[in-house]
Amino acid sequence: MTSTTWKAKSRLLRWGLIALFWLLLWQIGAWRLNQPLLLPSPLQVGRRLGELCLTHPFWQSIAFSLRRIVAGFLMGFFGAALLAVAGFFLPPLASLLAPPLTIIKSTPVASFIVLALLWLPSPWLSAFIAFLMVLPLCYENLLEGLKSADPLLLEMGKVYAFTPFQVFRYIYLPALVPYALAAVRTGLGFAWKAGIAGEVLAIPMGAMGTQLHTAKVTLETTDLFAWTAAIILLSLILEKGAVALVKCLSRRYTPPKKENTPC
Amino acid sequence: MLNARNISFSYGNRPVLQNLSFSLEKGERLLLLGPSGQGKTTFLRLLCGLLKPQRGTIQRPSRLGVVFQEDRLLPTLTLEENLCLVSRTPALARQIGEELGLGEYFSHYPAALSGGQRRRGALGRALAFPCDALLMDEPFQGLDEKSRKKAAQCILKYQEGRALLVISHEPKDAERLKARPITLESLMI
Repeated sequence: MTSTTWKAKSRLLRWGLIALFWLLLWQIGAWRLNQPLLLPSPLQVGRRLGELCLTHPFWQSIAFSLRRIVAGFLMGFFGAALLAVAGFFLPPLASLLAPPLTIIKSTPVASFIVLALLWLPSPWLSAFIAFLMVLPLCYENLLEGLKSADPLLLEMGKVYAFTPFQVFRYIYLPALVPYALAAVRTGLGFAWKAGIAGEVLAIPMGAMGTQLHTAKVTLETTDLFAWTAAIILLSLILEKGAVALVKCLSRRYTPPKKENTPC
Repeated sequence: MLNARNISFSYGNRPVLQNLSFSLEKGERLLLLGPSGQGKTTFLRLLCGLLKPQRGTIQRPSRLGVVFQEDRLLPTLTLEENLCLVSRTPALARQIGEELGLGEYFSHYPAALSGGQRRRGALGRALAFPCDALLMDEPFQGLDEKSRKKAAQCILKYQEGRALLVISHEPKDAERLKARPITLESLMI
């Protein structure tokens, strides 16, 4: 067994044990309280989640929310990338963009949800909220990434008559990758949480947030927990998937570690 | 080809170069000697156009091959890619790399190379770059005697026809490079 496999296995075991500890604590708490309306046990939640997984509306709700929130995230990320590049090369534009982006960042998400309820049809509210949450966060990260480009390499590129494309491809892009990864990781989590919160308030037909709302209104606490577990699981899968995708796409633009000698 | 007339430069209130004039012709080889902290690197940065003199004028060819004080190889490219990127003829870039003893490291990334290998990589890149003048700041830094000799032979071979200015604090390099030694004091009026 190689040391890498052994390390991966021991890390998996450690995380498994930690998860088991908290699930046990939850199970004991549920037994002691003995009121499923307030705190259902993890076994009850797991069983309910399993039941939901076998129903068609469950997957329809996931598809509904996922499509809109991911669309909002992508619009926010690529919009932020465009603005960051423009702001980096045109500093007056960056100064102009700073106040609205700071306001967007500091405004409570609930205020935007209420406003968006007035402006937009409820099915697309979660996309708009996700977009608003992601835009300032990704903009700041990507702008910082562009600023972190090595000035010594930029000088070298100038002396060796690099084309603007070469400067971007070989100097700015490698500097941008770690910041883009951080932006994806944080932004996706933000977009997901804010998008679902928007759905809880807007109650669009067939969204995950609407299912949460219905579970609350009908006092189906087990359903509430099961939908929350599904949201958490999806958030994790989405984040890991997006980070893996960005890492894969940017492998060629990332400085290899010292031990990776030959290409 | 490369001319500096009455140039002066200071960092804030600290003057570094005053009234300095310099000229380098095609095929000429000069070795700029002097202790560190004297302003040799500042002078090279002025000649490259990376700094602007506060007084005086500099005329330079449009393309200069430069070995900086730091290696400045692109970390996301292999050594071979670094050499070929700036050259119009990749075969020549590879040949220079081979002659500098780097052939077996072509597929390595800069992070996996030793200091001496990176230095030779930076030297190879400058030699492979199609230009009229070569400016080198301590090109033999971190190289052992054998590598220095090989690098000097390579410079002499591929410099031919181009102007060469090498900054060093090692007087022996004048002999190695068959270059005329000069100092910054001798350039100041």
